[in-house]
Amino acid sequence: MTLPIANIEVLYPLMFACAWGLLVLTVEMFSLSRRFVGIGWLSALGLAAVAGISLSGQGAGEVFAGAVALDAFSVYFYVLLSVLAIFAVFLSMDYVPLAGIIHGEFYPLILFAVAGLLVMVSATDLIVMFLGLETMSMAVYVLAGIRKDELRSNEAALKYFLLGAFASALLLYGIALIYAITGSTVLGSVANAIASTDYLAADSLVLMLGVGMLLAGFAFKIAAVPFHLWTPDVYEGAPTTVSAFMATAVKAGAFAALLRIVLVALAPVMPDLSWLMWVLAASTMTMGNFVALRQTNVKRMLAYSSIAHTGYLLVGVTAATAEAGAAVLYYLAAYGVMNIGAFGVLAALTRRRHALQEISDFAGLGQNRPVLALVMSICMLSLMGMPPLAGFVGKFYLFTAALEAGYTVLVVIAVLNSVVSAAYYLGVLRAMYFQSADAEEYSPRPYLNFAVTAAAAVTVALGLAPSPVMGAASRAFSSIILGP
Amino acid sequence: MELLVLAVSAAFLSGGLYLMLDRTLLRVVIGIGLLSNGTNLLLLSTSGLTPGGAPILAAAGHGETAIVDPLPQALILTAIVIGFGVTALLLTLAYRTYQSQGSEDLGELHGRLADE
Amino acid sequence: MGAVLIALLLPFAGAILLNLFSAPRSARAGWVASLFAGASFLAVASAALGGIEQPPTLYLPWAPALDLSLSLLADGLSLLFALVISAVGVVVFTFAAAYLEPHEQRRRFFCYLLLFMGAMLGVVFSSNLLALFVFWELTSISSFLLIGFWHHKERSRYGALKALVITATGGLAMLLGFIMIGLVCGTFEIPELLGRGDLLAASPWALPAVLLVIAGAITKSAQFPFHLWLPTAMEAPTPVSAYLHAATMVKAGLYLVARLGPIMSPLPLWTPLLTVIGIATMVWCSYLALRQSDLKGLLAFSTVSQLGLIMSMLAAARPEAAAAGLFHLLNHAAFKGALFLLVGVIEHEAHTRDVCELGPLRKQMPKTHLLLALGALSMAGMPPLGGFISKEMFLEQALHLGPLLAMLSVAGAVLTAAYCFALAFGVGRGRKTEGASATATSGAEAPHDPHFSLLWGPGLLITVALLFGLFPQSLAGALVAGAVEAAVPGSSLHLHLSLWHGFSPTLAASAVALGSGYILYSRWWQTRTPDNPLLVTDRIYDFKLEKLESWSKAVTVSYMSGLVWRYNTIILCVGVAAISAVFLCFPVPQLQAWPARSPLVFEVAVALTAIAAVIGTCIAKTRLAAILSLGASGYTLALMFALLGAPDLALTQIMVETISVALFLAVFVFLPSWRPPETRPLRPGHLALSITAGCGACYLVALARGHRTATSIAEFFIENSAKLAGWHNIVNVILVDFRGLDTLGEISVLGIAALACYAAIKMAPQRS
Repeated sequence: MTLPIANIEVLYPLMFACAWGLLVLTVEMFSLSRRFVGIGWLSALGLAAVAGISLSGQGAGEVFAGAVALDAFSVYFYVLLSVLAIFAVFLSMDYVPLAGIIHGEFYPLILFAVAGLLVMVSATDLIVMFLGLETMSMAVYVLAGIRKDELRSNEAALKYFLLGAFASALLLYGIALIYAITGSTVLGSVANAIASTDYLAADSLVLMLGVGMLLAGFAFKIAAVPFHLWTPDVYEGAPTTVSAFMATAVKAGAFAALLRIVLVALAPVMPDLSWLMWVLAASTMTMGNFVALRQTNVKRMLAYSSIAHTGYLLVGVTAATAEAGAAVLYYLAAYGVMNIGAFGVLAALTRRRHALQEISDFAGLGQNRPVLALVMSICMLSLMGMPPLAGFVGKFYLFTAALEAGYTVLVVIAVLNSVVSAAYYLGVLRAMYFQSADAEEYSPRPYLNFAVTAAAAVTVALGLAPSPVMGAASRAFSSIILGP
Repeated sequence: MELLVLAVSAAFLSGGLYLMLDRTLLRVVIGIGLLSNGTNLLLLSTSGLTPGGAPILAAAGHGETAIVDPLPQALILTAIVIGFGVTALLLTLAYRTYQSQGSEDLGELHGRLADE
Repeated sequence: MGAVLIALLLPFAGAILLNLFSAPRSARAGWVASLFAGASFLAVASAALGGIEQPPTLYLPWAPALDLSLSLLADGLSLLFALVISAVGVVVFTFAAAYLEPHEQRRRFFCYLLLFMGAMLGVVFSSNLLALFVFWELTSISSFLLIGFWHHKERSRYGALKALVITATGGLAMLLGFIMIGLVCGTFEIPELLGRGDLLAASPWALPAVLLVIAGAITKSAQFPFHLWLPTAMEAPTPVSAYLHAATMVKAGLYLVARLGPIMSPLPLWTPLLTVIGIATMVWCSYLALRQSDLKGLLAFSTVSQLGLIMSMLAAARPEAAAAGLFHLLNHAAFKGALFLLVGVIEHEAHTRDVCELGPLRKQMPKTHLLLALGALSMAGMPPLGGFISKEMFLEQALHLGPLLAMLSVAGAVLTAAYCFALAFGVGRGRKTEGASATATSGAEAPHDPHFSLLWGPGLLITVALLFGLFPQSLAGALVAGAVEAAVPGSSLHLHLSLWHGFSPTLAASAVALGSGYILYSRWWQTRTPDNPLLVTDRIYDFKLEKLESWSKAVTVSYMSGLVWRYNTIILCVGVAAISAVFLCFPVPQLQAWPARSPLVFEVAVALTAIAAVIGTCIAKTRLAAILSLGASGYTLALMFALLGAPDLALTQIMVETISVALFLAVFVFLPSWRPPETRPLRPGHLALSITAGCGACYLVALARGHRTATSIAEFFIENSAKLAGWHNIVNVILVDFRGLDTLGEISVLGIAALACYAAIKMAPQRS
């Protein structure tokens, strides 16, 4: 065993993200203006560069004794996370002054959170993964509570933090149990250790429980039942663009890590654990959709919808085939973009320091602000899974893969859930087009409008021409299952 | 000895969890501290607890005494430091919440939200 | 195929252009939309006249990895439906252009209508099951938007949602069925599927697939027991009802049955189930139609009933039956579209649609009434109208269905005839009841025939219905024959449509139906007030919606409390329960005996001190006590680390503990002491839960001991620490060398935490 450090290129995107975060922080300190548009542009530029560097194909492979890998999977997520974060930054460039956030740490924190996410998605070692998770979490805890003297925001941050710390403890405990059994924390070695033994024997019970703890830790970040409880409160309280970031980028990163664990390290035990994932998937989507029905607050509704979507994604994880894995990757991209659009519209409707969040606030939007209403409709219909939008293609991809893997009942549950979900997504549409209200005056919000329109356009494009992203997803996923 | 270690970690974990179920913010923070301490001790016990020396090789390099598994110790060091970071940040947030809201009762804080 | 593609794209292009270049209330929007519809019709017509190309498909890839493609198929069946859609479309568009009031949002209306037309053409031209589904759902959405067009009306919104919930749900069921078919047969292309029906028949998924596809078809076509959405959908503007809910959208289900018949009809249940559903719908809904007072309600139920008739014919998958169904479909599109438009005219002029409130139509609106009567008589099956021929064909086929179904069919025909007579004669005679007369006469002026622009459309459709009766073979023969060929491949039907069939049992049945229908109308309908019975299914739908909402609320309130400690309790409970379940279900390993080393006295003392400190922390009544006990527990923990052979840990722990306690104390200075609610006594439930969880966690670790199955990576570190890194403290080597990345990560976490603390402190609280 050697410890090659030669291919340090592997770490370039990561190093660049951290360095850029520091740069932005420094620039912010010396900037005199209170309007942070320039900082926003700088952050977006850095994120774009991260995507560019990872796409440029500089270096591939592993460093630090297989602790971090830059495979197609990592690259897929690097790009996806950068894009989602760029969206979040563009949304924030108008939203931050509107919401009365006067802290320049906002953008650097987003960059550091992205850096943590990058570590998380490319980590092939449980401990490194844990570190990435913690880095990201720290930044997001503060981002969630960054709205000054806003009780809701404060409480959201605290709640997220308290429950998150609990989840981190669980995660660490799970890592400990797995290490105790397999003697390693590197995913590949864990898999080998598990495969080389008769894991069905009684001894494996402990291993299973360790895996359970590990899953619990991630279930918190992806908002799966029963660790979803924080989601609505936190999404509601956090600044809207931070909620958007949490619902999309953080979830994508956590899913990436989960996929690596479940489908690489735990591949040998997955057949025995599929029932657990099955229950997790079914209960998560049912719970999310069911409770969302009652919500009149759109932000909370979106939070529940994000729980439900976690459930759909878990269907793919349950199926655990190459097809299903690729479908999860594609769906994460589709889901991310459409959710950014939906949260973005919410942000765009912010009055000075007062977010419009109730469904009734959307009344008459179809007449007063037709473009925003159209964007919101596209996002809602796509979340609902209406063809030919990205959400439909994603769901179709996921459910077909699960059917092929033999999970008929689960797919039926998922389809029923999609039906239920239509009721609350359509509620927004109904308010926008079937109710009328007086037009309001808004200050111009060029960046927000640009970002949400772009998100809607991407949602449509991903639906009409899914092949490129689908191909990338498929290649990305096969890179982790065929890899050593 | 091993039973003793397990008993102590059980005490830490139970105490930590108990405090985490409280509604006073400071207690919850303390609970998280206890919980991470308990997890650390538990982690250490996975290294085998074999009667052995510290994982420091004899200067000559061929001391044949059994030594305990060093990796969990490295892991725990990381965990301790991160735990500290978490506690510090939580305390800061708690302090700020208290300063602006004048209460550290989580139920009361949430109740105020509902009243809004 | 070029013409077909153009016909499909024109409506969408029209919708986009209209949206871009038209004012919201533009009077011209309707005419522009009509132009696009007309052009689309011409394209379809030219495709139909040009004959069916070989092969009749065009392949446009969408997502090849998923077998999703937008391939087009234009055989006889598609063309017949497409002709109906585009022809009725032109009539309805022009009618609507004159019908809508100037203040209405015409642009929106015609956009939706064009969108719908395009989607509907997409359904019938799709060669790929998934593309078919895509357009299918698009018709549901545009129907939702159109039904709710007058969104200021509560009933409109209710109807729109109901229609969408039912049809979209059915659509999803159908999608599931399609996916099953596609997975079994390995393709979603309809022409390729035709040869692989036996694959499906051999598969265990055949039955679920049949049921799911049937669910899609009968929800869309509003068949029993899903007929409930159509009557409430009548809140839509009348042109919409005429177009979507009489002539086209509701026929999508029929199209599906005809299209998939060659593949699905050999499978069990397909034919019998659809036949029974069709006949049952026909009888039951024609009875319900008789009891309606609202003209549109009457037409709605009559539509459902007629669709049932066609459904039962198409399900049989015999060429003669298919011909009967398809020819009746043509007739129905003509007369029912016209009837709806005429009711729209009546409502427009008389401001009511209630049978009881309407005045003597024959005197007030003679032209309208004449057309109405002709349409109704065609539906009743009165010669020489087109309806007579198709009704004859239907009865002839129904006689093959066995005595019970045949009798039911005749009964259905009787009921149909009865409400048709009611429509033709009952309304026109100004049959008034007390109480209603006041409202009828309160209008400023008596209703009269409208301008020609509103009458020519229905007039044209009625003329077509008449011509279908007089010249059936030359007008529709080839069209129907071509469609039958596609719906029942390999059939050699010598179709000859004609008005006069000679004396036969069918003619007798027809005469009986008409005669009894008239008696029923004059003896029963005329003597009683229509009572608009509430549907049982309606009640179930409302009840379910309510229940769903209240359950959802109950769940939300009970566990989404927003209180962190409750959340933690839930999580802990679930965790404990799950782990206990695992222990109950799986064999539990033995606790391994470990090399015993009896503890020294001072070790016991340290351990006891630690436990005592923890207990002290938990029960402390003041902040200071809690913080100090926390410190004590931390320091004793450091001692234990030292005892367990981990000096580095002990040192770190001591340092961290010192800083932590200092930090706690620093915060504590600013906080007042705990008062009674915070010094509450122990909570036994929480205590039990946390002790269970804590001890359980330790038990698990104890189980894990001695079960290590692989050589630890630690061996490597012990081996190479001195060799590669040149240092003897292995832990240090791991931290700074072997696993330096972890340490780097750890430092960044601390760095972020510091930045976060700084940000949090900088957010100076506002002193209120």
